[in-house]
Amino acid sequence: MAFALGPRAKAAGCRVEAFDEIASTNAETLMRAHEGECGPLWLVTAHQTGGHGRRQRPWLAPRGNLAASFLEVMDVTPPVAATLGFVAGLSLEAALGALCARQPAMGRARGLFRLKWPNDVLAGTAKLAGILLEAERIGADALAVVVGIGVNVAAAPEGLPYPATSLADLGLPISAESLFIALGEAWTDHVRIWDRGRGVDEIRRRWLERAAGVGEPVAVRMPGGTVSGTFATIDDQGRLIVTTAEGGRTAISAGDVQFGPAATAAKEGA
Amino acid sequence: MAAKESAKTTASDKKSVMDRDIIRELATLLDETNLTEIEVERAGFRVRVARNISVAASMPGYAPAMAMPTPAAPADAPAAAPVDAAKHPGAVPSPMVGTAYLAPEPGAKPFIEVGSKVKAGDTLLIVEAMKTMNQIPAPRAGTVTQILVEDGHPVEFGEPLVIIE
Repeated sequence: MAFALGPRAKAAGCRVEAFDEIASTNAETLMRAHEGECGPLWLVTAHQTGGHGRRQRPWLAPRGNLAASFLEVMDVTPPVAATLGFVAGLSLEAALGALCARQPAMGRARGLFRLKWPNDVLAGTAKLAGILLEAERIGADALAVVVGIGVNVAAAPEGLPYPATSLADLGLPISAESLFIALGEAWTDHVRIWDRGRGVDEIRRRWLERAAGVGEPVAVRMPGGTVSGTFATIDDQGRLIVTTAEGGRTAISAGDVQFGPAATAAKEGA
Repeated sequence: MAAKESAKTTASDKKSVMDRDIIRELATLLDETNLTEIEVERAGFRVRVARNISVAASMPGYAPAMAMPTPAAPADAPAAAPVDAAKHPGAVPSPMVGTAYLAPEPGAKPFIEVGSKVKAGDTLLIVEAMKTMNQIPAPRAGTVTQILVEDGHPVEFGEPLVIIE
């Protein structure tokens, strides 16, 4: 089965280009933007050999996992573009939910997926997918926005410093191709709700409904130190709001998030 | 952007002998060097003069000293002329609140250094927010004369990042 888009994504004007193998769908997509591509375009593969995450950390993806990057040149500001990460997490969660709902044997897995700030998708407490956005101003008012989504479909990489899982490990017989179709449809639906940032309140509401760790201990590691406290909510810009034991309230826009016992350990070690 | 200056001593019993000239001298030095803070210890008391970028207040993890009460701050702390890099014609402002990175990954060679020649569109640095990596391109060709942010530090919307002349 080849990678393709569903009817709603096609109707929205999306195109797709699939690769047997590619180093990084995000890097290729950004290069296309530099060459004048405006999207909406998906680049997709089931074998990404040189993917990356935050700060160029390698994103390991055994063959059979999904790597997809969406490109659109938009007239939005960078802070508004950053809220698309929440749209991406919600879309992937919705795609997984829709696929599980189709088969009774997989229905039990529907409630398993959770969103981790800012945009990881967890199955239980294990990381199933990572999302990385890259944005760059192209011309005076246009921002090229790349939304990269990597999903552990066939296998989770080994030797990671955090728990990870895959759809195969979860016993869910979903291929990268079928997941991509569902993702393309769910993305189209959620981008419509997002509406160039005008619908960010609704995106925020839906995201918080599916978020992991709200009200629980959290530790956020940043280059300047670790902030520990309780994960209160996210604000309208998508920042993580942490309340500290002293009653302080900190808005965080970037950092590595740990929940539960790991958060407590980080606090004690800080 | 409102850059405010604060000065305080950590040895409150010594504040009566706080030497205003030292503070004034440090404040001037802070401006001249464009550093964010200077701390000196002399004859049993310590003076720290810092430029407090407003984001620090919301990010205590980065600047714990700023979050502490400042009872020892002299009411008549010298108001040094703020460095208004934002008004510099060559200033490149941050498009968003976030964390600035001067290199593509930790330990890598920075995108630019003071003295680097850049052309329009070259990546100067990255500002991250909500796992969105915003590549900040040079708006015009020129030479980087100042880098106003530190790697891994928070930046405010509109805060000048780099000066290109």
